[in-house]
Amino acid sequence: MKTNKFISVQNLAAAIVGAVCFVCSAGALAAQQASSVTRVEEDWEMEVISASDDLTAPQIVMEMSPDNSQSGNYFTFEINHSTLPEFSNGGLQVHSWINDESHDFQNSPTDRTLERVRETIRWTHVLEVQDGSVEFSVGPFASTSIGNFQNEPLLSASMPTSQSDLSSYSPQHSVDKTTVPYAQNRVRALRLKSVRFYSGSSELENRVVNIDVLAQ
Amino acid sequence: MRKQLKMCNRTGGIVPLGALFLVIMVVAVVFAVEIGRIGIIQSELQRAADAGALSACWELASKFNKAQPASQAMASARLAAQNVVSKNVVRSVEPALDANLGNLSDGDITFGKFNEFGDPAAMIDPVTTNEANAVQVWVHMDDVRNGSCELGLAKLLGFTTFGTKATATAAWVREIRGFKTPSVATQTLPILPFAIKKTEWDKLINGTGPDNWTWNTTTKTVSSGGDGIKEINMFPGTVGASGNFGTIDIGSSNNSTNDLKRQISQGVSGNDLSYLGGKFELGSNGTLSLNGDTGISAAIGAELSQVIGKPCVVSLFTTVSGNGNNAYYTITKFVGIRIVEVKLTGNPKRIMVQPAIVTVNAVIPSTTETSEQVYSPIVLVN
Repeated sequence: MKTNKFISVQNLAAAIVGAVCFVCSAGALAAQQASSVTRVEEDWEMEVISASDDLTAPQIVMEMSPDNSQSGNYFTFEINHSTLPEFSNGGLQVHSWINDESHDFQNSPTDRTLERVRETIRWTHVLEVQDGSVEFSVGPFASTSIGNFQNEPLLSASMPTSQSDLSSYSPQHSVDKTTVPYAQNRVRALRLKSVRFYSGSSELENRVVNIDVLAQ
Repeated sequence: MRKQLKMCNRTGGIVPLGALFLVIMVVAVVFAVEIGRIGIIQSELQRAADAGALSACWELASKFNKAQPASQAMASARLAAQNVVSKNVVRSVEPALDANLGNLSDGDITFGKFNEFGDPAAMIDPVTTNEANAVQVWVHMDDVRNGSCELGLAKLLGFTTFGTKATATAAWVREIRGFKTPSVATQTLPILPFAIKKTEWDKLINGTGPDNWTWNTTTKTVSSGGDGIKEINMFPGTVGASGNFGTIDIGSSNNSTNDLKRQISQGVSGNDLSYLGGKFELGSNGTLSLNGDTGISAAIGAELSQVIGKPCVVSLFTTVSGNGNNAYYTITKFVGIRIVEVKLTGNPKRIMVQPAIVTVNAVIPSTTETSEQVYSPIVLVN
């Protein structure tokens, strides 16, 4: 009997905890719905060692998607090279891809290459959904080799979307899809420093993540 | 007067002498004719032996490449040798070959291992396993087989028949431990400056990977659709995959993108090998350390597209160590591949390759397993 009483006390406690969790998550969900995320900013930092101008090395490819690429739609940002309409050394380029087909792209105003023995580069990705369109932009971008671009945005690409918010966005997707396909040995670290969520112009959250992609 | 009489008497003495010379001349002519005949027979026999050895070796290599068991491959090779030799008629005789099913070293068709390339006196070591890389053929024109040759005018001298035989051995290098500078200065080697991690290659060979492309041996083109040969993406799509593929410096340590492009589209040159002492070769410990960079540059997409379908050699590595300019690959093996797809836009990008047989002239033979599907051409070794 004592055992039964004990079990029922446990069950009661579990039920209370469950109810609290449900109320909390419902509240969080309601809050999320009330102020849906329409803009996300990612702050990135990269430490480069022994870049090679002759080899156009390293080459870095970043990706950001409004829905974790579930629809096959995503944006890419190429650093120290560009691949559209054909390969070019140096500079920066952003693209939008719909079902893995190029939709839009833009080059940086410079094609300078990474060439320093050591340098730390910092930049910000911005993803924003508005009026049936989602836009990816980069800026500010700070590099000793390629250049300092403090204006925002430096580069942008967009695509049509049926999404009204960025609730499907995941920073983990950006981390998973980011790669250094050539000369990763020349990059010491590539970090997603922080992620900021906005609803319109109101900041909802500033999440410091500090994930080193190369250490994953 | 006496002197004149003496001279007349001597005139009759030339007859027996002339007769003797005539006999000697006839014998000499007979010998000359018969020796010429024997020479023709010998060269025809040699031609038949050469053709038989080459055809049997091609058949053996072809069946091995299709992963046929040694017994089946050798059965096909025996038939090929017998068929080709019979078509090389010697003095109106279609020579027959004994199958030598016991693979005796002095049989008409003998399979074996041959490693002493360059030594014309070297013999094959008879084997009946898939280690075989050589076929020795003996074509008899004697009492053993096919009957002795009938002589012509020599019958006048009491010689009626003549027995002879010819042999040839064809072989190819099945295991190579490197490549040397081609003998012709303008010749290049079909080696791509890429390395694949051995564990990833082993997974491919063991059946892991997609099969979306087909190499058509007739049209010499690649088309979509599976052909039963798995593929691997050499272009790293994730950070983790970057460590599985690399670009290696076969040549100057100051390699540029232009050097990589040239090596892909034209092959590795003698000048490239001069930076490595004239040889791209595994050391005595079975490894070779080469400088390089992880992954593959998107800058070489156009050149890679040019060589789609062409069999090329890539290196396998076990480890890569060091950062920046000091990344070094430990190369342990050479394998044959064929590029079937190049897509270097979007994310992820793709350079799909599948295993393929590559024939390279300037190879350095090995006695251990240091290569896969990289062979020398089939040649007559003695």
